[in-house]
Amino acid sequence: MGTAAPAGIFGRESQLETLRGLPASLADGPAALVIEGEAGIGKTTLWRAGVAAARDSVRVLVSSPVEVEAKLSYAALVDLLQDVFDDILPDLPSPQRRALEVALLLEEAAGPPPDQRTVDLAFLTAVRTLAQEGSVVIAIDDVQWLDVPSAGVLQFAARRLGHLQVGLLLSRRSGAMDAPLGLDRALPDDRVVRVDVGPLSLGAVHRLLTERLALALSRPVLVRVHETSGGNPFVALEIGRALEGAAPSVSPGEPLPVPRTLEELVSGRIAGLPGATGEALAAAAALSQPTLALVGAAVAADARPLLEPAVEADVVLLDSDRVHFTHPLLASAAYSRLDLLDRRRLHRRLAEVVEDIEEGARHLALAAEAPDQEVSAVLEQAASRARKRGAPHAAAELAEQALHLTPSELTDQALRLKIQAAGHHFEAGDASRAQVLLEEAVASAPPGPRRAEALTRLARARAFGADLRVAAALYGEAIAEAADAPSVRADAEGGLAVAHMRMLDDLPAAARHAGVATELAERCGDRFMLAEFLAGWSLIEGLLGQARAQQLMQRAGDLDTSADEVGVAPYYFLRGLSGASFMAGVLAVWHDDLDGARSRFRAARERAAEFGDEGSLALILRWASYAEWLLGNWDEALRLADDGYDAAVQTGQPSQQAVLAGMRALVLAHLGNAEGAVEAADRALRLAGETGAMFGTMLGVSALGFLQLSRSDPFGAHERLAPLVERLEAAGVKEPGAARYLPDEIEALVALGRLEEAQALLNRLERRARNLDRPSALAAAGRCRGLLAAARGGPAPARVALGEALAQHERVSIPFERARTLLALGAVERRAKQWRSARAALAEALAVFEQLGAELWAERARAELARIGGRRAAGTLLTTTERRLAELVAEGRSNKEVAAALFLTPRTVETKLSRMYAKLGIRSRTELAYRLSREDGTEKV
Amino acid sequence: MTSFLVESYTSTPTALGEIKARARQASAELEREGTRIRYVRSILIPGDEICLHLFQAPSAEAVREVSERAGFSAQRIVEAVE
Repeated sequence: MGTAAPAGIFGRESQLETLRGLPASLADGPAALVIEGEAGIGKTTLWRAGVAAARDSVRVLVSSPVEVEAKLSYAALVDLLQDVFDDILPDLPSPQRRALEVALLLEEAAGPPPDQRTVDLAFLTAVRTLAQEGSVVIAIDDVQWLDVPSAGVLQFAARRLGHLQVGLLLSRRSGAMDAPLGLDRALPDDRVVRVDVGPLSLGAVHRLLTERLALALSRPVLVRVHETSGGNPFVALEIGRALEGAAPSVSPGEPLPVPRTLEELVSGRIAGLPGATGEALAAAAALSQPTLALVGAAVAADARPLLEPAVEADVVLLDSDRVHFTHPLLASAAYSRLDLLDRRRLHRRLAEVVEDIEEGARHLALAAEAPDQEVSAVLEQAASRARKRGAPHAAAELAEQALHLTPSELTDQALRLKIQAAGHHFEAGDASRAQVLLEEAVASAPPGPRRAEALTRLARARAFGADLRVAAALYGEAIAEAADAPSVRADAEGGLAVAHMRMLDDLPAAARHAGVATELAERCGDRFMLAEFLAGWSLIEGLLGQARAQQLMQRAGDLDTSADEVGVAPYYFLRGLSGASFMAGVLAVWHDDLDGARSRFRAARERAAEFGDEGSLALILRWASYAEWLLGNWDEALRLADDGYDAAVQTGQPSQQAVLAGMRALVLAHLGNAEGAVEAADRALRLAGETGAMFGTMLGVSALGFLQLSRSDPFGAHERLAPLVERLEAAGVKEPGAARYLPDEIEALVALGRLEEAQALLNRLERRARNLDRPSALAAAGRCRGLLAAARGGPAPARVALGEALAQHERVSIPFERARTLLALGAVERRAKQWRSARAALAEALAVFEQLGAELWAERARAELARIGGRRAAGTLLTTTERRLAELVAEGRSNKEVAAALFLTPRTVETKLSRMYAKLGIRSRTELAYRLSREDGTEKV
Repeated sequence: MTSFLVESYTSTPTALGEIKARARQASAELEREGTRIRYVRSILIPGDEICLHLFQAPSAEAVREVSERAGFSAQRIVEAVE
């Protein structure tokens, strides 16, 4: 026999069994149960049974939101955490702790508002802390009424539960297709179980009526009740109650003597109560936290005696001083019975009695008949408060309501509110609504600072995703109209500077705008703006090859806008990028400080991940990829580029997609994957064309040009690279670290025999490299000089130049570049018939190319090697690596041991060995050992 | 002795065999204690989650008693003619 159902529940045995299984199932990891059914079917009853059962063995966090609470930000989160604050708060890192306290109104909001993402993270950390002590179940009834911010927090957490023993027990009104809280994406399919609650059987309905109403119906009536109610227990009970009052028997064939619809049934129940009780019930229904005191204040009477009849009639129950409706349908019925005028009067009264500013404002809005300046002001204030405690969604709604109720003559105020609401929508993650509002504002505003503000915000939105050229135009318009408003003008100037930089069309202009922006930001005393503009200006100056870039970045860093503080600046949805630290990383890449760059990017990535700032992640990953590419970790670089591309797609940033696709093209070109490189480059160029993101074009074209060079097609390389060089020269790009395609073009020109042109470009490169003392550029220039000299006929000057290049390579480790120089040296030495030096250089180049995976270049090195003294017979000298390998093998080591000793893979060792055998014309390790002993000391040709 | 029909709520899944056994056992018990009661049959309607039992007994009280002992949640007990 199964275990008995809790008192009063029957007809739900299988569902109960499933619910009871939840705590135990958590041993395998997170799981979710979703109880679904129509209104009144008994979900809450089941859910409560599930909660009770779970409480026997695990900790349960509970929230039962009601419809009216759906507007209150974080209401559910307060419910869930209220019993465990003492357990979790001490373990939270202070930014998260603070964010939670402010969002949940435990602390007054002072200072910058908490980032919604930080609140997300705080909750997740709290759950992790609790899960350390044992399994946890998060139980939410009527999840469709969760307030939006709480739903966001739970959705965030659900996706990051990993292997925690955390369960979700949810109930929801049926009708929605997707799983609630994004569970279908958060957990594997087999860990999300739907518990459908269907109609009760005839017998179960009968039992229900007998037990709850002591009603014993004849079979025909019972059958009719079952049919009419459709097996819905709530409806069946309502019909039962109505039957109690009606005639005791019903003739077969006659309809039941009760109201037809559920609404009428429920309404009838309330109509049966005294009028004053009905008023009190309406007040209770409209309040988010209906206490006897509040209800009493609303109806200006003592609530308890007023509600007695309702308690008796089982419409509400009193729990200490809280009023609870026994079913949500009763609450909506109580409220709907009021006509419009009475409702407004009620809300006006409630606005006076509730303490919470936000709730009061909402009631005021519902009470308003017509636009009203005072009401609008209250709503605006409430919006500001909502934002301060990190509830931008609520802030957006309140701001729009304020807008709605602004008298039509007050056009400037309306505009201001519209722009404000757009900002809140951005922060809440609804970029499209924000843009709609901003476009309306731009269209309807008269020219002036207000319109400039709207233009700037709109431009920022456009620059974020879609079209830099449109953004630039908007910024330009904004600057013209912003004249007297310094902070608006600063914003627009700064935005325009960055837009120009990203379009790489006129860097001197970008620098000018950045300078103006910085000066204005200083005048306004806005530290955050100042730091952002200084960093941006620094990068522009960096591209221009100006030394002051370093100082500007230093100034930005000194302002030290730490993670805790960023967020005061308005509409900061790209916080991850604003850290001067990230931009300093970009500068570091150009300045050949690759390790420094890499650690900065790592920190930026972590921060973006911590904050859930996926918008910034795309750009951060692009630079991280670039750094890894330079350092020679090409597989990692490719992975980062692809991840970055996904992040850009996820956050709707086609302009960033262009750049990331270009990055992919560059890495694939180096790996010799021609097909892949071309596909990615084409994608990059297309997207860059659509959005104006010139960096995408730059990377894509560089990749294609380089690919042609790798295939020994200098004409194809030059065809692609020459226009790029010209375009970026015209834009003002002088930093060699940002123009690494330049040496490729020079090499192509040399190969084509266009030595004068090559020399001109080389002079330019060298001058800049010397001015800035850039090791990588000096090395590349040295290599180009060597190639040029060799083309002019002199091996000696070529050798010198290449030797200088190699010296520069020692200063910064970019393995591929060094290998290219070695390849060039090997070719020079070969033509000068210096076989031994040629072989040494070429063998080393080959080893590096192979290790990096640069297939096409490895082929070139092999081809050069093959041209050296055709005889493969005895006397072929081994390269250093090969010698070491041979020595180890001769000692009797296994391939695996050799691999470990030389930091190679066993596969590589096998390949090298077989090549060596072929080279030397031998077949066994013993022969190798013998040959090795003969090689020592002999100088062979 | 009168025939009585008992309507009892019977949640799925419950086997008819078990129901009959309990009815028989409870009837036998009451007989031993001195009440005249005869169990006739049970009919299960699984879709409705209802089982109908037929007893012959001197009074509805006796039927109520035997139903309780058998563990049936009797919702209605009415006189019947068989």
